[in-house]
Amino acid sequence: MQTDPSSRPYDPITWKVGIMIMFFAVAFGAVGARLFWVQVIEGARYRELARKQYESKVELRAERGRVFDRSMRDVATMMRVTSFAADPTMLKQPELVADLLAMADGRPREWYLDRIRNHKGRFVWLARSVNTVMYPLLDTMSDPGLIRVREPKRHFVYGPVAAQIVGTTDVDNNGLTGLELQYDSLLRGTGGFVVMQRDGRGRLRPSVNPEREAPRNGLGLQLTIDVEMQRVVEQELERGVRETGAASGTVIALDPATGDVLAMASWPSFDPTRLDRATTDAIRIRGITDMYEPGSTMKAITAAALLEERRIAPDDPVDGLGGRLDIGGYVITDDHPLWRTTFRKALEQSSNVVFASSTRLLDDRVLYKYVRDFGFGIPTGIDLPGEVRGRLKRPNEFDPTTKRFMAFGYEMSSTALQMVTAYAAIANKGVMMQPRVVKAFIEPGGRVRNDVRVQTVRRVIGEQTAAMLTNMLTGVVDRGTATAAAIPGVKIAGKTGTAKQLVDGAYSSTNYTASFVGYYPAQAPRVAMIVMMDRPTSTIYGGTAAAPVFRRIVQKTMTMMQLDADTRDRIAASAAADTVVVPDVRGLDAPTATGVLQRLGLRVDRALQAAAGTVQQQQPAHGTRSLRGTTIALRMTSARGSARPDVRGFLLRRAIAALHGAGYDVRVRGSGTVREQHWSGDTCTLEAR
Amino acid sequence: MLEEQLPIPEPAPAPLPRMVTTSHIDWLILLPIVGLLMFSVAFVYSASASFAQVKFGSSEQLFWNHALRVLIGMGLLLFCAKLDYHFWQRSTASIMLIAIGFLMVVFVVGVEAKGASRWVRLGPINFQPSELAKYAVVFHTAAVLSQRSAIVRTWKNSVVPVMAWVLPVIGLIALQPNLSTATVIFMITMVLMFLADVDLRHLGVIVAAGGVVGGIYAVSASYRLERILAYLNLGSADAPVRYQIDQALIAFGNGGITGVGPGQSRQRDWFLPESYGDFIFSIVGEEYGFLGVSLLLGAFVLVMWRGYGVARKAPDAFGRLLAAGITTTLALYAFVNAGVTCGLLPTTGLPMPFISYGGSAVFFSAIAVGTLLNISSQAGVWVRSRPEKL
Repeated sequence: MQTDPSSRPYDPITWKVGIMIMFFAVAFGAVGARLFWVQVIEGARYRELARKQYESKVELRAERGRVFDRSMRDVATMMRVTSFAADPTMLKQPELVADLLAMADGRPREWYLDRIRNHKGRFVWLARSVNTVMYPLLDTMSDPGLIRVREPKRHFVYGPVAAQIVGTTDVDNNGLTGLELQYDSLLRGTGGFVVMQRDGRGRLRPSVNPEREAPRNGLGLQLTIDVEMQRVVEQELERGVRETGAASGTVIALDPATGDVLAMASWPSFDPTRLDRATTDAIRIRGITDMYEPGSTMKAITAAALLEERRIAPDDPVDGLGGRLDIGGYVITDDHPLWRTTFRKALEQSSNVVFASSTRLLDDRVLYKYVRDFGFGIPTGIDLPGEVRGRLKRPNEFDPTTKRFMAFGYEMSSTALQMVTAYAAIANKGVMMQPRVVKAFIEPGGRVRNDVRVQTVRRVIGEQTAAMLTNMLTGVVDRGTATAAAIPGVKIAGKTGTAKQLVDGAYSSTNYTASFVGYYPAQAPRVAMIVMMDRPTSTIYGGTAAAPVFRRIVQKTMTMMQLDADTRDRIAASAAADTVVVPDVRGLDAPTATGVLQRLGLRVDRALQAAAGTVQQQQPAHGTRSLRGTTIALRMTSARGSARPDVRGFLLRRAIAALHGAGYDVRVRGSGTVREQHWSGDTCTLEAR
Repeated sequence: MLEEQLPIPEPAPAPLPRMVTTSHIDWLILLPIVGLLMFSVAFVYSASASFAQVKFGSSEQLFWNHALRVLIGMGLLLFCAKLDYHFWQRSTASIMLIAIGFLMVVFVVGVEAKGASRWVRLGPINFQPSELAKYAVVFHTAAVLSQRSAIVRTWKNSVVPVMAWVLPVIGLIALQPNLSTATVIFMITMVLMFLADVDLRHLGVIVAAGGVVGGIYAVSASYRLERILAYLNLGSADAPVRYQIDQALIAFGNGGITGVGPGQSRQRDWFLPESYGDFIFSIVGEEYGFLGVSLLLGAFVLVMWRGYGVARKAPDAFGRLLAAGITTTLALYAFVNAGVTCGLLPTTGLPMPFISYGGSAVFFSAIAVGTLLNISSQAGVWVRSRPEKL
């Protein structure tokens, strides 16, 4: 039963409900107004705040520039490595992952399974910095629990060769030592960025049209170093240090005409991939960071001054005083005492007495000028970090005996690089060149950005004086103290040095620096080189501790200069090992097999080289080691018709090649190595496993 | 020239068919509520997808839960719309007892969440006793106060019995601790007493007492103080509460006038905490913009206006008070939630009715609105006459 509203009695609830309606109308109105303020009037400000928290700039790393040797062989490249981690709760195929990692990373598969199974959290590292090139499955497999972190890493193609020169970087791409430090800003390139979308937990995902700036990869360096020569130098240096029992050693080889450093090694050295294990002793480039009192190698500089000033000629008579010269209480002695002789002979026999007394012919200033002009006491300015200037007294600091001691390499000190640069100036007809290790800067694409200019430092002595000096220095090797450096057929000019080291302010009778510095071929020098042994023990003389190392390096590198790259490789390889692993040439045709074997230094009977058919058997078998020059006996299948090749035991593709080569058709079952073969007419069916 | 006009005989009136008046439920309440329920499925999906993806491995987990609850809620709503509301009048005391019982159970076996025990697991759903208690208070207070006004105006017969029932409920909820729900229930009770014509002096005493107790309670826990300070812009900028409000405002602001589009919310990607619960209104604001939230608030305003209309016209005092109580509850929750998310009110943990993802809230709200609809069908707010079929 409905009541007519108008007839109802007064009910307070009606006006009180009106109050409630008004209250809520105002309340919702206020909310609406507030929303209008936030969304419409202040909207732009909040949208900006929103954009800021949604976007995240992700850095794109530039690839570090590569390092090439002077023939553009890769020395230090970039390798893409992958680090693997797992989310054990999400991993679908732990066994497969463990198997693949065991292959690629080298630990037993149980080790990985252990880590996956016994880890409580959701992130566990499995393998760091794995090169996955050989294991594409690791790269492509899409297990939701497998986490990959890709990063570029320096790869040293020649391992530790030239490690000190090339230098190292830290994980963040900062150059730490060597050229990596010197040219860090060029090598590192400039990073770019891409704007990614992020969520409240910091997870990133790509934007649709991301704002991005591509990274610019670093410039590459073309070194003046010849990596093959460097390799030989390092090997021979190490051998020399071992044989002489020296504490350390340094070898530097320069091209006198350009100042190019062809090789620069010091021992001990280190593995650039394991910088954490290396000591500072092993990292520093001793040729520029360590000073030593050079001793007799300075006599060539004194001789240069005397000859250039026309004070003496090579064949002028001098007096060796029987190997004793008393100067104000100190006696200078000679190991090979001379009496009346010639200046040339005095140099050959390295007479301290003659050189000390000859300085009476030179003013302090004049001697100082020549020594300084040859680059002593001044940094050479080579583009490597850490070079020291050496020590050279100014004429006003000279005391009465300084000149006489300086004449044979005391009361001053120099670096190995300063010394070899000075000799290179003599070799270069008296003109000193600025030594350098970087020849050119290479753009990421491989084009040369710009060449580093060859820089002449100054003319030090005249051409004639240089020729005279070269002539005298060849005598040192031919007849004098450095006969151990002589090589039949190659004229070498050089000088030995055997210097006492200062220990606690006094000259030691046990600690010596033995060195040999010279250049070859003397007629038209291509290489100037210094070999320096620090504190050798089995023999102390430059002529016995350093000269043989010089000789062996020359012997092993001499041929490289004129020969093509391929031959140089073979000679360099032969210096390392005289045996090779015999390859599998079965199934190849005769010319191909011959080529493969000859490239490795193995021989093939001339009659077989052009034979028809394919190789059926070889002796010695593949995988064995053989001396280079060994003749490999091959048994050929003749062409089709005469014999059906027996390909059992061949790799499948090799077997197919052999059969096709012999003109037969092939059917294949399975893969791997051929186990069985069946003939039906001209078709051969292979069963492989 | 005058001619005598002939009288035109009136046509004999056709016999009028008898008109029958029928009363319907108020469509203007049902339609907005059904609309809100339907859209809430979309809102919850959008706001919870990122959270559910990480938490449950499926972005649709919360969506299906909510969709199922909405379906059950619709059923309850329609059932209660057909159920004569006087059915409740006899059983409000028992419902109160059940509600108080559950509130006590929460302390024993309650599920801890964010530092408070507010839930009890009942089979597959999380049952929130305070949601039941809220409507139990409304129903029971309406029943107690629906007496002759002379009786209601005495302290002994109105204030005392009502507060004797309501205070334990408010106390238990405040101890959970859940100050905001306790406060809202207190406010709803006050509104009902005001509408029931309780003496305003009595009412004043109760409100003053409640204000003092509430004020002491509010500053007695650090997180409540922090919320208030954050509201007053006094707290440190990195307090979690300040962060939540800032993110909610960014959501609104990012939505602008027309919104970023359905399903395009970015704030739900772990920027805005509780994006599918108490702060879902911000996500609606982000996706549908100022126009969208205006429509949503408009729906609540419509329900509020029509609901109070029902309260005016209900055939008896219980119906009037019950309709007013249910309407007040819905409107207050909607207003407080919207006010909190847009920074107008201090942060409280009240859900948006029918919109927020939540366990039992949908069911109780559906029962309440169903009851409101039943009252409307008896209040004659939607009358239609049609000829009687012969």
